[in-house]
Amino acid sequence: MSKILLVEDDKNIILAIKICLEEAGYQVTVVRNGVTAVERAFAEKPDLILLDILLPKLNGYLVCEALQEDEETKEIPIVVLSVKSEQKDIQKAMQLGAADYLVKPFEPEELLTKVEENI
Amino acid sequence: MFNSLKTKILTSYLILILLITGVAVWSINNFLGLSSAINDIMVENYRSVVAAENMMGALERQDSAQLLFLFGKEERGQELFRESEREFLKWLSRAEDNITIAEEEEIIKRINDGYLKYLQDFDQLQPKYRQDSSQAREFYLAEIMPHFNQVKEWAQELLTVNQEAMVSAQQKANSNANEAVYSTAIVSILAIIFALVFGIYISNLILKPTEKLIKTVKKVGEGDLTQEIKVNSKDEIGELAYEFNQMTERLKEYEEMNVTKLIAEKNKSEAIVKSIDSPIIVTDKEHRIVLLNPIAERLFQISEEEVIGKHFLEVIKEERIFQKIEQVAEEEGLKSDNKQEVLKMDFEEQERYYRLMVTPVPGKEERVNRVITLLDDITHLKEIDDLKSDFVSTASHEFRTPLTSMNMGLSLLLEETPGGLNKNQHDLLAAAYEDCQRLIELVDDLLDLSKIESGEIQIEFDDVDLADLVEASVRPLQKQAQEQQIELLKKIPADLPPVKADPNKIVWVLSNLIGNALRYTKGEGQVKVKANQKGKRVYVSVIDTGIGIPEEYHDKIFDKFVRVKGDAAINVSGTGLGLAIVREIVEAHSGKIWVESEVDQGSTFTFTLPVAK
Repeated sequence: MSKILLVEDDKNIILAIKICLEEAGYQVTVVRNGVTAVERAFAEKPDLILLDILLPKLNGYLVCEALQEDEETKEIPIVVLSVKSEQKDIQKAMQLGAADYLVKPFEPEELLTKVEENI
Repeated sequence: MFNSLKTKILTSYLILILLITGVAVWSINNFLGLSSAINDIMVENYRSVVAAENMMGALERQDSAQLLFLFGKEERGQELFRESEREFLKWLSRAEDNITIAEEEEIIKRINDGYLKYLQDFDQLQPKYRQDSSQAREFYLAEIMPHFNQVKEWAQELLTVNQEAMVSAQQKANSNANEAVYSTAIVSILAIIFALVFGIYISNLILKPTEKLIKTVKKVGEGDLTQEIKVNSKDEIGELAYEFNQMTERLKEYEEMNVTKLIAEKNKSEAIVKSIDSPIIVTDKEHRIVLLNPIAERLFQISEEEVIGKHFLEVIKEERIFQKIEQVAEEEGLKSDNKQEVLKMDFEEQERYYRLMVTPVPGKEERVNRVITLLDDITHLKEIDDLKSDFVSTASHEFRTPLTSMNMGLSLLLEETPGGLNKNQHDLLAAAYEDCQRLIELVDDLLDLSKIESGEIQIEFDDVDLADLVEASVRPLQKQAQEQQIELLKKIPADLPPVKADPNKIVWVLSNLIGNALRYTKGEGQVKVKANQKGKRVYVSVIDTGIGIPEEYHDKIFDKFVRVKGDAAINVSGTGLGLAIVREIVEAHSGKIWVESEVDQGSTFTFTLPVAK
């Protein structure tokens, strides 16, 4: 069973994504801020990280950078989930090591497709 | 002395006529003299010559008669003698009646006396002959012969005198004729010279003032109203000159009046320009600065005095403004530039935004004479606009988070991931999901529009093949078209030149227009994307066979949130922002977009793109 780390601060979104992924057979761990996200990533080594950008304490870009710096976490694919839809935001995330980018709001199928592609 | 041109001309004619008359009288007089001289010859001398000749003839015959008498023919001789005596006396009396020369009288007196003696001789001869014929013969030789010769000689003298008189008269006539020729010639030459001099004088008298008049009229015609004609004559030309001077005077007054008015107008417009607190620059058709208001002086940090008459670019290093001025000045039809171009400039070290408005001022014949460039300070508006864009942007982003959970939740429920639903539950959730989708679309469009309006989105031009763009727009919609049983066609000519466009934005435009076409075509139908080149533009049309748009919406349809009445009734979703964004994008490509449509027949949306250079 693949482990997914969901980094998201909105409880309603957490609920929807959790149900969607668990129903699809994934094991989901949720963290609500950037700092915890980095800690949990080191500790659990998930198969995939779903990362929001606008996070308390440490934003998504910095989380990306932090995970890229360590050999152990470097290989974990990161799919960014963000309300920012501009090309420059997407490019920035990709440069910082994100594997993929999904603009909010999205359909459950889109999320599942992205997860499958990158895991 | 000459009061009118008419008198002048008439007088000069009169003088010339008098002159000709004089010459004629003189000539006639000469001819008369000549003819009287000839007459004199005829009358005075010729008769005397004839008389003398006849007298001589008669005398000869009398001599013959005496000889006849002496030779015995007494009767015959006497008869002839008396007959000839009468003849002689007749001619003598004629000669006496026609004495013209002084000598003549004396000669005739002598002839008279001699002839008397001759007659007396014959009277003595008759008795002598009867006594002794030989004595008579001697008497004839001794007495009669000398007398006869004497008289004959005198008659001859009379003849000679008269002949000489005739010769002298002829000479006199000749000399008279010569004199007449010379004098007539001299008089004629004098008359010609006089006529010439007089003619020149008279024409000068008339033409001099006319020439003066012409010269002055020319100068006045060229605009020099200070000219005054100085003509002293009191004839028609003098009168004309006077009236002309009066006219010039009035023109001068009129012009001065106009100049005063013009100066007042100029001062007024200058005052207006100076009192406006947006920078204004007025340039002439050679782009030299004519007028500048104080706020413009401050903006460009120049002083009016120094820059008047200088070329725009020499003073103001703003290529963008100058390009617009040039464009407006060159364009026909005196259109002002209504496209709002916003410039960012530093005003006394403060960043400000100006809307550039360039207006042509017509001169004569609809040509551009002046160009007014107004920089409307819209910094304040810009700030408000930025605030609005910020707000819209922030709000849109904020909407996205709740929409994400709502959308996912509804979607999962509808997929029955968490569990089964009955029909009513499903329908209600489906309706909520549809509206959720609309909200997402609206938020997206609002964000796009605010970005374009604020100029945040940069158009990245590239030379692109329109066929590729159409393909990219049509492909994702092909499935939807099939589901709706709508034929989706492309008709792009193979030789269409590349266009200068931002591919992503134009794909967006095309997708939006094709999406609309599909959305508004109910039942079976056709949607066609067509393109063709017209000059330096490519016209792209999206043609559908849908429900059409009522005419009153043809212009409004591109405005924000405008939706055709009844859209909701026919169950069409949409945000009312799509076409507003489409128009913004097309205009950012310096293109135009419009719709042609008829209700129930279909709609054709056409926009233009520039051909790549």
